[in-house]
Amino acid sequence: MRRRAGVGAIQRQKIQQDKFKEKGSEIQENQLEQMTLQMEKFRENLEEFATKHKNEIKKNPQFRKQFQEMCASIGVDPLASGKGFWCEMLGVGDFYYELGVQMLELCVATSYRNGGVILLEEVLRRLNQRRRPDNQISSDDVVRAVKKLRVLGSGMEVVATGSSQFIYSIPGELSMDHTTLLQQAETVGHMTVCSAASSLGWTQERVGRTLDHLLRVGIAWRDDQDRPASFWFPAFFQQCTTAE
Amino acid sequence: MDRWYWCGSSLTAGEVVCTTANGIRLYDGDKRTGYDDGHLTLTNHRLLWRHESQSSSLGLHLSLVVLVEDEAGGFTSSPKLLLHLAQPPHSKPAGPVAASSNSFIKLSFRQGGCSSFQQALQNAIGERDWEKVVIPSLPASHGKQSGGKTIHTGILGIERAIQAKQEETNQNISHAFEDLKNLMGLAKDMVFLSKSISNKIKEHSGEVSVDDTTRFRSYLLSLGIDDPVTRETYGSATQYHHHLAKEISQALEEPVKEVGGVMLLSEVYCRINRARGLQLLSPEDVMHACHLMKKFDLSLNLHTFESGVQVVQTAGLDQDKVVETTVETLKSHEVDGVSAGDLARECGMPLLLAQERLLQAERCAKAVRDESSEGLRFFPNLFFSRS
Repeated sequence: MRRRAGVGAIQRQKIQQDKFKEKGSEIQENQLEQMTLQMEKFRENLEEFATKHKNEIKKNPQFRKQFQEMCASIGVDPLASGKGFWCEMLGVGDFYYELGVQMLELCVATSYRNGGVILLEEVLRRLNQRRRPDNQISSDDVVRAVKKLRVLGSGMEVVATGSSQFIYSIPGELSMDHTTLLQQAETVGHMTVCSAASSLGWTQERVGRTLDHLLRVGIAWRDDQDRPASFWFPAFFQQCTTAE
Repeated sequence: MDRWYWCGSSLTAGEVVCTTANGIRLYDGDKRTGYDDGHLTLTNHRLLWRHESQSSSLGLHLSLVVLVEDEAGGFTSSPKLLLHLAQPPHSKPAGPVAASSNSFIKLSFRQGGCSSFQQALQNAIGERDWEKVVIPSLPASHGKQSGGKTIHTGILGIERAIQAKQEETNQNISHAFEDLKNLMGLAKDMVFLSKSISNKIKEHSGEVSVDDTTRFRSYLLSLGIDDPVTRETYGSATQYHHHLAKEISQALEEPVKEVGGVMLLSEVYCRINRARGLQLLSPEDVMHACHLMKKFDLSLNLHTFESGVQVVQTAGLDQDKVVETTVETLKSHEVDGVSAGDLARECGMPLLLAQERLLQAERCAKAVRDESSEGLRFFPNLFFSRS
């Protein structure tokens, strides 16, 4: 449209813009209406899905994992709120939130022994012991539950070192050095400054510094009756892992 | 070439076809054989080669295949797969060649399909399905009086029941996955739609009515979609969270007082969910609800420490009083100092909270720290009090 000069043109332009805005709001209202309709349809479909497959979610860890991955791929978080459709109809929420509560309680109960560091396998073993055989949890379930708990600010997270995974429930971060030493501790159970230095290829000072920190936060214990002093890691004690 | 044996073309129990290829020539070692232009079938147990004119096939059991290599084709030759084979068992049925000096064979793909066949072959060899025990399923009788009755009792009956249940579960799961895919398709459309609506909101923020936005945000909450646009302007809380805030503060007012007026947010989460039993709250729900407490002047408040630790405390809890109490405890242990663990044990509070209290006292210059390999210990600040 050729631009024209004059007051008339300005007025016409304004009318045109107003009309576009109106159309825009109309379309947008339509969109919202459309979304309302789609939500209803989705709700019905989800109800149908739930009546057929709600049990699968509770009983089958593989199915749960698949479900979570599909949700993530389309940008939906089924665990965001207990009020969401997913939780209300499929009961996904109850499963993971309950798991979160159990994890928190387990970490508090065992932290006096292992200083707040616990092997993922031990968590699985302890929690699965209490559950029915057809209601078992997988490591994927635990990792997701822990991820959700982070918003509570208690510092719980999953850390992988080498072959195994740990749940840390202690505040403050552990550096690469600390986690490498922990990995080493997992294989040998206990160590002295010299043995660690030679097997890791570090200086004794570096090992000493790292062990000091672990000592301070309670992950490592020092046995001064040994000459030279040896360091032990309750998180990996056989007694700890089998005792209740 | 002596590992091949004559067999029928039908499949045995538990055998399924993985892939097929046409135009295959068999090589004994590097030498061509007369077995050309055949149809090759890969199952999860064997390789079967058959020429159209014949009814019987040549079979090769996959357990004999040690290594699979491929030879790229050139101008004059077609791509080939080289299969290194183990010694055949004595029980092998008769084959076209009684003995061969070569322990490898080649499959020439005159009409292509070599690489996909190689992939399928390696998968089948990796799976080792022939080693899995298949529970024999007894065929049900078809209403005949003669012939076996369907056995419902005894071990065979139990095995039958187990297998039937397994099949049913498998069926259910595959149906479940199908339904899940359809459901996700629907959800995906809605995510797309919600994105375009939120873009509209971003661009014309004056024109979208408050009601519409509230409705939209409740939809987002129901679906679990995180929308940065509405989160920035309105926060993530909705009516639901307002309601929750009231519920939590009512339910936990007494327990919080009992533990000294302060409770970790993770503890709050555990307690409220244990109390509810069903229809549990997500960690995010609890967090959003607690953030709203101050706004509504409820009896509990959320307080966030500098380190990120979040606690719920009784409103009107005097921070100064808390510091004073901590300092009192420090004074009583002037000689040794107090670590976070000591304070936690003595006052019966969680470790995180004890740590925060000591740090808070330090920030108010009422306590000093001593960091050593014995741990982090705190002492009353004598520099101020005695100087």
